[in-house]
Order: sequence, then structure tokens, then C-alpha cells
Amino acid sequence: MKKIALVCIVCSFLLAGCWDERLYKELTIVPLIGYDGKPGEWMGYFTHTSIDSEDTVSYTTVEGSGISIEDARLNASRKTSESLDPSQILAVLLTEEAVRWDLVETFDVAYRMPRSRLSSKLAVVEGEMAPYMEKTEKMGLEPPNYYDKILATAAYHSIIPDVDIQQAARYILDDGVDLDLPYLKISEITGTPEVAGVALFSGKVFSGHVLDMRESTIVQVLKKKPGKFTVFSYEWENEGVKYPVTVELDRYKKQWEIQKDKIDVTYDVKLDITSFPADHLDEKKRRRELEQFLSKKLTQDFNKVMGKLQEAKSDPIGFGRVARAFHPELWNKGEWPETFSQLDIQVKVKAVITRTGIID
Amino acid sequence: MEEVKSNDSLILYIQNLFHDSADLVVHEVSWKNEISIVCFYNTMTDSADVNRQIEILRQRSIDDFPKWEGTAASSVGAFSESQLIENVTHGFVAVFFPSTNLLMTITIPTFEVRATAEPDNELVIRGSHEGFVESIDKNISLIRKHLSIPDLVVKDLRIGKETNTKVTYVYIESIADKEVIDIVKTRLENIDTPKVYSIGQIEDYLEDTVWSPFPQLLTTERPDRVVANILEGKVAVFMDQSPSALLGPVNFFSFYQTPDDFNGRVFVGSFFRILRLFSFLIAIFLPSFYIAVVGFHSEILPYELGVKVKTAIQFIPYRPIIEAMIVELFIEVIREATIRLPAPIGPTIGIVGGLVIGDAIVNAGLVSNLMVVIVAMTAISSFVVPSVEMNTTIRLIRFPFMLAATFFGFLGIAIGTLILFIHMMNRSSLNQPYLSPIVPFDPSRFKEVFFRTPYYKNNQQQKTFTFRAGKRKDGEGT
Repeated sequence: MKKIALVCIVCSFLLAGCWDERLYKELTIVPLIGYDGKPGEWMGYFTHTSIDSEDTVSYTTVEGSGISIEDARLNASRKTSESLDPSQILAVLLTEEAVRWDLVETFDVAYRMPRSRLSSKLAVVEGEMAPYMEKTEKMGLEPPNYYDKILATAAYHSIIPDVDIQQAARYILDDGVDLDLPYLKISEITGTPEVAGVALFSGKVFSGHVLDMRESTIVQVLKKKPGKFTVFSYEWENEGVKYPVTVELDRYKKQWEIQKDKIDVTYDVKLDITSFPADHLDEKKRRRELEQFLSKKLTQDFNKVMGKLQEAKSDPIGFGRVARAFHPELWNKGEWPETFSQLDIQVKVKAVITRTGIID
Repeated sequence: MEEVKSNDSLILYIQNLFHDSADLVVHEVSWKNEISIVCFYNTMTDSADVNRQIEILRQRSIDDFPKWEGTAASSVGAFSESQLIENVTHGFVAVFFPSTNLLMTITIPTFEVRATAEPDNELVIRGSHEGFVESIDKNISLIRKHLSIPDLVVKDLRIGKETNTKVTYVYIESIADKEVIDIVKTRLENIDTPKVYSIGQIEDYLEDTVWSPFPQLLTTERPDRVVANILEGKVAVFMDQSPSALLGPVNFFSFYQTPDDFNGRVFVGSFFRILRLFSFLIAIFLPSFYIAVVGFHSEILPYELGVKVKTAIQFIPYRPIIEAMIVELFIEVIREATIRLPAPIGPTIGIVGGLVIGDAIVNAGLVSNLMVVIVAMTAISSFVVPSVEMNTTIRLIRFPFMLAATFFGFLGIAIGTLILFIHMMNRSSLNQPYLSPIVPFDPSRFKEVFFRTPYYKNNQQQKTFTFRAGKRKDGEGT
């Protein structure tokens, strides 16, 4: 009996390759994926590494099509020497067409398979997918690293939300808050893809509305999820001369007053002056003037963005969550995107200068 | 005339007893009113010394001292053949008085003993630089020098019918556990083997589980280490002609402590103690972790690292286990070779083996440079442990882990770790738990595994195995 058991154990060792072994040598790293299409007709662009000799790594893109994104990957896998491994994706790009369908359903495989990387970045691109997968001269880096870096930089500067595949699902499944994804487009001047703002989602799908960089920065501030570094610039006029003023957001408080048919939003922002050639900020009067000017400008801009959000029926700020929790009469009025778009939302920004950057 | 004749035949008889050995000296010595036969090995005892001693004794007998035979170096007893043989083989001088049938023993053996030098395998930076030598008496004297107390007890017994080897165990009566001493005593007395020539044999008899890869007795050649340990209630076992002492009962963590911890500062000692325990984990798990990652779980690598790993292994013609085995075995071979080589050539072979072949093997594409890095880190980590036996054990048990990782990935490592810890928990050293402060858990001594606490806090005698001894409340410890 002992002998038989021993033989069985020893023989089972020979079967090692038969279960879930996946030699890293036999996998291809796919750091960048682009998807285009609609349910049933997905087209996938997979940028994968190919190691030619001891230390040169080059990147090639293969296309695959299928009825789902997983099917497209398997289809593309047949065209490469090694199987495409989606576990080290840095960024996933989606065309505007691709986000018109429920993202959670599209990315079902990512949430289901343990090998999928849920922390890869998501972005929506303008127009066709193919040009985004090609390396341009201005990129400086290989496309996968380039997208990873520019998305990280934009998130650092509060331009876009820091959203990965996992968080995207959270926002999509939450009725009280909508998703906004980074929006990329190819620059007309350089011909290189760059961050242009955010794409607004309404409900589970892309609303078709896009905010530019300045507006999307305001959205991140409204959400109270800014990056490390948030800057606003305005032109200040005094006695007929225009001076640029650049302020950095230091810290701020938000206050939402949600009533039956109206929301009053107040943001108390503390600002650091990083550039102000007119100077004389040591004078109380000058500071007061500047604070009033900034409050006015910021209030204007914030309200403008709020209007755009309402127009897009997209609530990335999450008023819906608060309404759902504390104001059921408002929440139960109807579908939240509709309710939100018709609400009277007034934003008020109170700016206070905390640091002038000059030692008196 | 008749008496002389019988003495001649007696001399012949004694010579026969020792098979006419060339270094045996048997001759007559005349005393005041009798004649005796002196018998000794001149290789073990200096003949001039013998003459001097006999001269002193003869003068005492002429002066009619009562009990003139008994001096500091001599004693007298009834003659028996076995006693004669024992005395002579131990290097004593046997003086036989045929007329009275008495046997006088003069103990003036002069063995060649090398000078006490610091043991090469247990170097310390600060602290005593003495080491044991191949003489049991000298070794005991080195300990007595540290501990001038009557509580230090030395017991000896002889083992092995053919080798008749002297084995000594040393402990401090007031501190050592009675139970432990009894175990050592019974186990030593029960050794039933004709030949004992190395301390490793005694270790086998003393250990609780010989078939465990983990050493259950601490071997040391340092007197300061023995003293520190017997002061914690341990027993030290010495064998004649061996410079090593066996210390027991020990726990696993004793192997990771060195006199340097206690000679250094508190922070430094603690830091290096933690570092050593950490290196234990690296030495066992690093190669298997690597194998599991490249064989099963490559998804845990971040992209940047993944590309580096992939470039390194892309053109290696074998599976990771074979690659790992090649480098691991290669390093073991270099290590084994450098031990046997004479000191001037050793480092050369190390450089040739390590650098030249290591570099060439990577350039030839037989092994990835990542694997060389991992194996080198593992090898260095395994040498951090201050005990040679534990070092060999660690190097050995990483091979099963590598196999487990090849077959089952992280699951294999997890199951292997489970088995390893179950095995360690079940071990004991002289019937004391091997993983002592952790299993069974003793919070008072637990911190001492990782930290070297300041001395002035230990106002009570610290024992290795006394449970909850740390609740020191004015001598109230149990």
C-alpha cells in the first residue's frame, strides 16, 4: 500500500506541466490594449512586447476580432508566437463607440479571471483606434509607457480622475454617481495623442459630452478628489492693465445644501499665489480685491461646468449619493440623471489667499 | 636471584600485554627496600619527568614518610591487570610493586596540545578570542577560568569499548534543570558502541530526533558561548580530543544568536538579530519564490519588472527548476571545493568559480543573470547564520521548496511551509520544545527572539526554557 502511494506521488510530479503551470517564457506581455466596436463585433488592438535578442525589446501591435473582448484577444493570440497575457496591462484605450455600451458587461472577463489586471488605467479616445497604437516621434517613449505616464501626469495635475478598471465598475454600478474617464485626442499640431479632458458618462454609458482640460480640472475639484497639484490662471485687470494671476489650490471645504428642488453648493477654497506680477499683496486692500476677483471668476467657471454636467445628464460629483442617503423625496422623483439635469444647482466659491509667496 | 628472574618474566609479561609496542618503557626501579617495575609510554609522558617524580617519591620513602606514595601527582591502589592497562593507555606512569601487590600511579601526562586560537568557523568582532583545543582538561580549565564558582559541576564517563573515550558534561548545579541533566546522563550511559572518535557520534546519541534536518544541539568551539549558555541552565558535553562542545537543550533561535549581539550595543544587536532571522526566510524561500513566479504567477510582477525578467529568461533553454538546480549545485560544489582546499588556493578557486564561470555561464545563455543574482543572494543569506550546522540545514531544505514551487507554485510553497513549521514545532531538544518562546508561546521571552534587551533589565537569572520566567517580580519567578 505504502509503495503504491509512493509511486503515485512520484508519478504525479511528472504531470506538473499538466495543470496550471504557465511559464513566463511562453507568455507575451501585453501592456497596451485598444478596443473598438460594439457587442458582437469587437475589434481589439494588442500592443505586445517581442524580445529579439538578449536585451532589446520592441513593441508590435496585432489586431483581433471577436464577439467579445476575450474572443478578440484569443483571435489575436493565434497570430502571435506566444499567447497574449493580459495580466500586465498598463492602459486600456476605448473608442467613443466602444463606451456607448455597458462597460461592466464589456469587461466581464477582467472582473472574472483572476489573472486579469484590474489596476490598469482606462481612457476614451477620439476617432479611430489604429493611430493611437502607433508610436509617433513626439512620444519619446514606447506607446504603452507613454499612455501610462501621460495619464499619471494628468491625474497628478487634477485634470483627470485616477480611475482604473476596478473603480470604473464601482462608479458604473453606483446609481448615485457617474463615471468620468480620461479623454484623449490626437493633437492637431504635433500629431501625438494627448490628454484633452474627460469623457462624461450618464448612467452606464458615454453621454457623448466631453469636457476640456480646464473644465475637467474643475470637476475633480468639485468631486473633492483633486490630484496633488491643482492650478487656476486668470487675467486680473487693474487700472486698464492686465496682469496674469496663477493660484494653486491649497485646501478647501465643501458644503452641500440639498433641498427639494435646488442644491446650494459652497466651496471655501484656500489658495496660494504662485504668480502675480502686480504684486503688493502685503496690502490688505489689494488682497481683498484679488480674493473677490478670484471668488467671482471661480464661481462663474464652476457654475459653467455644472451647467455642462447637467446638460450631459452626468453626475460625476456624486450629489446622487447624498440625495439617495438623506433626501429620498428628491431621489425618488424619477431617474436620477433626469432629476439631476433639471435641478437648480448654484455653486458659490469663496476664495481666501493663504500664502502670497512673498515674505514681507 | 630468583626474585630477579621473576621480575624479568614480569617485564616480559607486561611487554606482551602491550604487544611489544616500541614506545613502551618497562624497567625495574629499586626503592629503599623493594624493587618495582615502572611502565609507561614514552610518547605520552616525558621520561625525564618520570625520573624526577620517582626521585621525589624515593626520597619520601627513604625519609620514612607515612603514606609516602600519596602526593599531588601520585596515588596508590591494589594491582590489577585492567587497572595497569588503563593507567598506561591514559598516559600515566604505572609503578608495580610485586612484593606488596600494589600499583602506584603517577599522573604526569604531557600531550601535545595546540595553543588556544580563535575558532575559524565562529569568528566574532568584539569579545573573547579564545577557542577550545583538543584536550578536555584544557577546555574545562578555560571554562573554570570564566566561572570561579563551586556550583560548576564537571562529570565524566568513558564510552566505547575499543576507544575508551572520555566524555565530560558540565553544568551549573543551581541553575540547570535536574531533568535535563538526568536525560544527558542516561543517554550518555546508554551509548553502546565499540568506537567513539568524533563528537558527531555523541550528538547522534544525544539528539531527540536524528532524522530531522534541524540540529537539536548547538556545537561551538567558543568558551564564552559555552559559559553564557550554561549560565542559562544548559548542559555542555565535551569529548576528549575534540575542540567542540555540544550545548543543549537549545531552541531554534539559539542558533541565530552570537556573542557579538551581547558585546555590541542594544540597537545594533537587535538589528542584526532581526536581519539574521530575515535572512533565514530569504535563504529558504527566495529561489522557490522566483521559480513559482516565473512558472505560475507571472501576473504578480509589475510591468517594468516583468519586461526585465522576461528579457532575462526568454532565451534560456530549460525550465526554471533546471536552471536553478544548475546554479545551486554549482555554488554548492564551489563551496565544498573551497573548504577542502588549502588556504592560499581557496580564494582563487572562489574567484574563478564564482566570477569567471558565473559570468561565462550567463554569457553563454545557459542560465539567466537573474537566476545567478537570486542564487548568490540565497547563498550569502544562508551564511549569515552563526552556526555551521544550521547553515548546512538551511541550504539543504531549500531544495524541497524549489521542487514544491516547480510543481505547485505558491500553493506548493505554502504547503511546504506548513509542513516545515509542523515539523519544527514537533521537534524537541533534550525534551524541551524546539520553537520555544513561540510554541509554546511565552510572551515574556518572545521579544528576546527579535531583540537583544539591555542587561540591567534582567535582574533575575534568565533561563532558556523556564516558562514565563520573565514575570520577574523580586525573585518570585518560577
